[in-house]
Amino acid sequence: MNNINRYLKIARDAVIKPSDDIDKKIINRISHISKSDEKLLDEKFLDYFKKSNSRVYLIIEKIRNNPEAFTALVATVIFIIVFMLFMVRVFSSREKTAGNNR
Amino acid sequence: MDKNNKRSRLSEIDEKVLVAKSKRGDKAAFEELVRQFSRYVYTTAFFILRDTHEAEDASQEVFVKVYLSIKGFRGLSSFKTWIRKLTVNTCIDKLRLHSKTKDKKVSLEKITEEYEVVFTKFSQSLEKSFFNKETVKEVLKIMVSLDESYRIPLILRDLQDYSYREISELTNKPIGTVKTNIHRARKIIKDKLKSYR
Repeated sequence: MNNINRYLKIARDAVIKPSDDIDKKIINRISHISKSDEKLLDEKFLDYFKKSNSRVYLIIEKIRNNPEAFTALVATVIFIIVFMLFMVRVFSSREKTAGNNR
Repeated sequence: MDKNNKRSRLSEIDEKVLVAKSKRGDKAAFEELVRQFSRYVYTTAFFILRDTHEAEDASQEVFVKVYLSIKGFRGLSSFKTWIRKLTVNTCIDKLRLHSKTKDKKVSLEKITEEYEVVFTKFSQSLEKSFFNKETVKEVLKIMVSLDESYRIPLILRDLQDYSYREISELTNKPIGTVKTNIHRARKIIKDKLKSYR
């Protein structure tokens, strides 16, 4: 199965050679855009467009796509904060003890 | 930085400049974007729709949508990601629309006659190995011949980098089914590849 995954990874760089000149056809199509083409920007497209332009939505999507990575990140941040609080507490109690001894 | 990375970094800069110019209404810049991405869009459309004419129609539709809306594109994701998802959405919609009327089973021979696969960039090892290239072409041919329920999740996962969750939402199937179908699709490819040799 590993080989298949490797081939599929390589296949990402494969493109199909269109039988005709696809770029020219598209450019020609764009040169003749009419009012009726605005119908293509339907509700579904507008929804996608709105989402792709929303930073909050994109961040939420990233988190939803990688919940494990996000959980690990949150856990690490919490650990660092707790560790720092602990160190601050240790140092301040040491200073207190040193002050009392003086 | 190796050659491929350098090249992709340069094309990323190119892409940003072209998008910025297109947003200002520069038609020549937009035409350059079409030249850069048309094959990519067409390929994605063909793998999903398995029909050269429909893939062409879908590609034109995608670029018309992009042309009409690029002024509002904020560029929070790369242009390639944006157009990739737009292409997938457009093609899945077309597939849903036609699924009731079209014959789902297409023979492998018929499809392979219709297209030629080329590689946009080669890793050095791939360049050296003719065998690898031919095997990848074979893998793609088998993939295109797969039934829709296997083909679409496999394309989205392995060629388009979608997450299982995104595929599940797009195909209206539970995540478990999506994972199983992708696993089965890979297994079918593996078995067929063995039988060819």
